[in-house]
Amino acid sequence: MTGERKTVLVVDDDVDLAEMIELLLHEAGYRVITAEEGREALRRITEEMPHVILLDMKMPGMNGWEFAREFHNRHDHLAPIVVLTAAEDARKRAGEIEAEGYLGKPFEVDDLRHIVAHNSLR
Amino acid sequence: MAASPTAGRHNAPWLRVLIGVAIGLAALHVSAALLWGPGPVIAVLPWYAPTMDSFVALAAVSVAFLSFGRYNVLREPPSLWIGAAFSAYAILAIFYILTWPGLLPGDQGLIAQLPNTAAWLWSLKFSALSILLLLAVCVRWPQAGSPWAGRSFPLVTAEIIITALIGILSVALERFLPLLVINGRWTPLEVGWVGVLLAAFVLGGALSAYRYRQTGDSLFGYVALTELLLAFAVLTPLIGGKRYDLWWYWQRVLTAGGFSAILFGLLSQYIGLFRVAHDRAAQLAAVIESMADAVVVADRRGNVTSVNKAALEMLGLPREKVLLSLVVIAGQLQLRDLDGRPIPQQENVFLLALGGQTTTSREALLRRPDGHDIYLSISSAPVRDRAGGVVMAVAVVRDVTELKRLERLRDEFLSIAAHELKTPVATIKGYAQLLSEREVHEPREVAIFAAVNRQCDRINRLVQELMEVSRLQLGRLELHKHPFELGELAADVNERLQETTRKHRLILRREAEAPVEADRDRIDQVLVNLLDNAIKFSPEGGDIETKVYVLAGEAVVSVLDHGIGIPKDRQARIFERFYRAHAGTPYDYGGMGMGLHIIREIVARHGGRMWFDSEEGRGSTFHFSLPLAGQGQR
Repeated sequence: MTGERKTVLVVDDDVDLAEMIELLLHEAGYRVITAEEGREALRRITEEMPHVILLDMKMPGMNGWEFAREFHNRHDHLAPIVVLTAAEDARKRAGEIEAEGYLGKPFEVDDLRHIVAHNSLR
Repeated sequence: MAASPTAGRHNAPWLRVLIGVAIGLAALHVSAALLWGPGPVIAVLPWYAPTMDSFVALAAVSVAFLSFGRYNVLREPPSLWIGAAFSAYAILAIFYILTWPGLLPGDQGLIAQLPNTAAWLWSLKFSALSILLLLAVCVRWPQAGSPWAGRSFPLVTAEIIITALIGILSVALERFLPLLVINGRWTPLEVGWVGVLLAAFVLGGALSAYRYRQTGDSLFGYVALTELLLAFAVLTPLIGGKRYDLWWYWQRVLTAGGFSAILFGLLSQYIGLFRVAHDRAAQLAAVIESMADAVVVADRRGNVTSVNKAALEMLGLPREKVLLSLVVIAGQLQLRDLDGRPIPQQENVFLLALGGQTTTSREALLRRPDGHDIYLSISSAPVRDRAGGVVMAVAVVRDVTELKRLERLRDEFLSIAAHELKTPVATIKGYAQLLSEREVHEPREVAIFAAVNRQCDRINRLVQELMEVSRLQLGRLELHKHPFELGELAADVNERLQETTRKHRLILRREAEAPVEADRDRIDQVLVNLLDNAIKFSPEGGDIETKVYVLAGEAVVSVLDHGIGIPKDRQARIFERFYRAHAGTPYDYGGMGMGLHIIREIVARHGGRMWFDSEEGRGSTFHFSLPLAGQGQR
């Protein structure tokens, strides 16, 4: 269905930011799905398993921690999760949920491209 | 802080009245007797004179005793001299009494009938009294600070012994110096001596009255009254001459009156002192009891001796359950450090106070009997006696639970605010970078988007510093020290910071074991800041070397970069708050200039130092030291 293009799921409640990332990744050659919180994200996953998940942690509704727990329960580590967060220690957050990578906000667009590329290699 | 001046001033008005009345009565008596003769009262009663003299001697002893006691407490020189005056008088008076005829059958004195000795003793006792009273009024030695002030006991003992010796020797004067009484009459020498005594008492009384007016100390008022009456007392025999019995009768009455005056004065001062002391104690107790902060006092052995109401309310215990040993209470109430660690005895500020150490605002956690944890801020100090030894310790304890709650709220708020600020910045930055990557028609537009990107970074940095400043709470920097290996922490920080950059190679060299006892989070902050700076200020990339080693009992960390360095003229102020060494240069990364100031504070609070070497264009090396664990830091 996707051919060469890898799919990235962006989970973030900030619509502007999600759109910016979508534009960025689309131009980098990815297909982007967005969700505003955890439950919506899980629903989208049932429709299609993405290659990489960019996950914000603090969201209303189901937050990043809860999503990660549910995701790992249902799908194990089928798709790598990259924590995208404005908190000081993105690393700690990533460790808490056994994510495969992390990136702090604000970020360099190049860094985002790299980390998505790195994690979508399968 | 003597109580007597205040106690004395109350008596001022009626004392003057008393003096006036005494003068009046004395004058009246003298004139009455001159005019109308002696009357039946002055029948020669053999027991009259020795009885009166004994009373007077007893009064003198009492006055001396009270006076010395007053001196012991207040350390005011007049009391010492007054005590000396009356004790000298008393001793000589006792010898005088022993010579008085009529004490034994056959009209004999207890020693013998020795009219000259008696005259000597009589004159000497009044001389001693007048001279020493003059000294009491005029002399201000020994001062409170002088070494003699505490040595009154040997001085007084010497004085008593000397006076007693004079008394004993005077018995011989009957034979060797029979100059004062010849054929039962006074010699001119004696008359002259008595005249001098009169002058001395008058002078003393006047000076005393003057001192009383000057200082308001009623003791001088009483001394003035006494000297006045004694002046009359020695005047009577001068006037009397032939009418021996009458004048000697009055002389004793006046002497007794004079001594009674000062005895009364000292006693009333004592009562005043008691009242003042009691009032003061009650006032102090009331002050402490009504304080909003808890006050706890412990004795030398570490047992709590008193607590005020606020303390009982804070601890949630009844009084009898608190008056225990400090160690027991600390255990019962689970006195802990802020991170939950039980406070060991060596760090208990109360016990430290008993050892002489003052502590301010030490924070701790306590569990009340109802199960609630409260945060406390404890300040403790030793209480010393006059010699400087510690007799008690007092602690003021403040419940800061609410404060801590607000602090946590604030930190939470700041954390959320920072978090919220970063997200929109991320959006702006991302778009700006995307735009700048496009084919633009005007080269100016590239610069525009680059500027937008830079400003986003600046906002981000400011937000970071805001967070740092608030967390550090400069001015109330609390350190929670634990032992750890500095090299290990450096390795951890190195690893984390390496992940933030691809252009730089972060190398760590651990040259020695560096165990330290420090606040791990804060030192982490120091290392992160130094490495972050090193990265930031080597925009071309390169190696950043961190070295951990030990030198002269200290653990030292050096962070070396090959970046742009710090211009010489900016180096001196680099640790200053708000100083930004690269402001206005192409390497201005914005920020508030707090970073180096903050981390140097942290290191300094640990008892370490921070210093640097830098050359513009070649790079910088920043060093900091921490005392090794167990090296006796404070």
